Amino acid sequence: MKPLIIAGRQLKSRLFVGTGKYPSPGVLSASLEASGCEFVTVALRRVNFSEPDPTLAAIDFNKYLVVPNTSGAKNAEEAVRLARLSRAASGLSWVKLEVTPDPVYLLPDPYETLIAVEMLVKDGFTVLPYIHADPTLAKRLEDAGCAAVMPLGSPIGSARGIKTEDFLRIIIEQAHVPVVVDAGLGLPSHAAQAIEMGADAVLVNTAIAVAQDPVRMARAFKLAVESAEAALDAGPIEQQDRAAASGPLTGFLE
Amino acid sequence: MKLRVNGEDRILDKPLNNVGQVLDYFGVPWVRAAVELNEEVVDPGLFDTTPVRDGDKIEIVSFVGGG
Repeated sequence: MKPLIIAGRQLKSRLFVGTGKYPSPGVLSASLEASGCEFVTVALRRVNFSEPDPTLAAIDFNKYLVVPNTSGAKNAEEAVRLARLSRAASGLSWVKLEVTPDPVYLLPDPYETLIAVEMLVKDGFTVLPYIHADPTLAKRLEDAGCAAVMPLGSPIGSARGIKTEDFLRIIIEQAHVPVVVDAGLGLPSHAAQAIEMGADAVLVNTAIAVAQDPVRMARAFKLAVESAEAALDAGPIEQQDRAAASGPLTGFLE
Repeated sequence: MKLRVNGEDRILDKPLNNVGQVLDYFGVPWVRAAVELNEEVVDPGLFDTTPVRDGDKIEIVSFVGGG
């Protein structure tokens, strides 16, 4: 596969990992290590003065590319506000844009997302928007200057795998920026499927964080992604409608 | 001194002069914290020179786990 480069930065691992919902900072830190990831996401919240969030201490900002998301934003204005605060806190102008007004399915709002992208790109951000698997929207966002697009496989945290396959294939076929399949991946096989389909990377959080053993699951996802990459490099065969015998077709005594 | 901090009105038991002192007052490390003063993001390099005044609205945020 050709190297994965987003906004001029080459990334060694095609597995991106979110940092929410881990049972402890120690498990988070060990899971990130086991995943082999380089790209890590975080969220931004008001500081709780009496009970500071311990997650932050578990993430090595020198080792990982830590990209803040705008989770919690319900419209473009809130997303841009969160992005600007995140940039001040991280010193990095990368942002994973999420605008999710619907609290039940957390589906991204395409209209507000496009408005936010236009504002953020103008403001110098490297924007990676979380979107539905909508090829037309992906195109519009690419034209608006996004560094990548992050279409969903299924709703966030649902573990339902890739339910948007046909549309992801169109996005992958048409995109000139990296395509990162984000959300809904529940098993390593889902991640492998995305990479085998030609996605440039996958983002996984809940499937690792909430597994009985997150560290082992992180490793399982790493192996799956590497396995799919190796398979693509090996040149997969075409699907056929009929059987094609692997051995000689003559009767065994002929 | 009265400030509205993270959505709550706070009466502080001593006067504070700048954003850096507000962070210190609430025990927030400066690293990877971001501050909005009256809805404007404060440059982290200017925490200790950005003045705060009675009645100011301050948001203090930092990173938490997220996907």
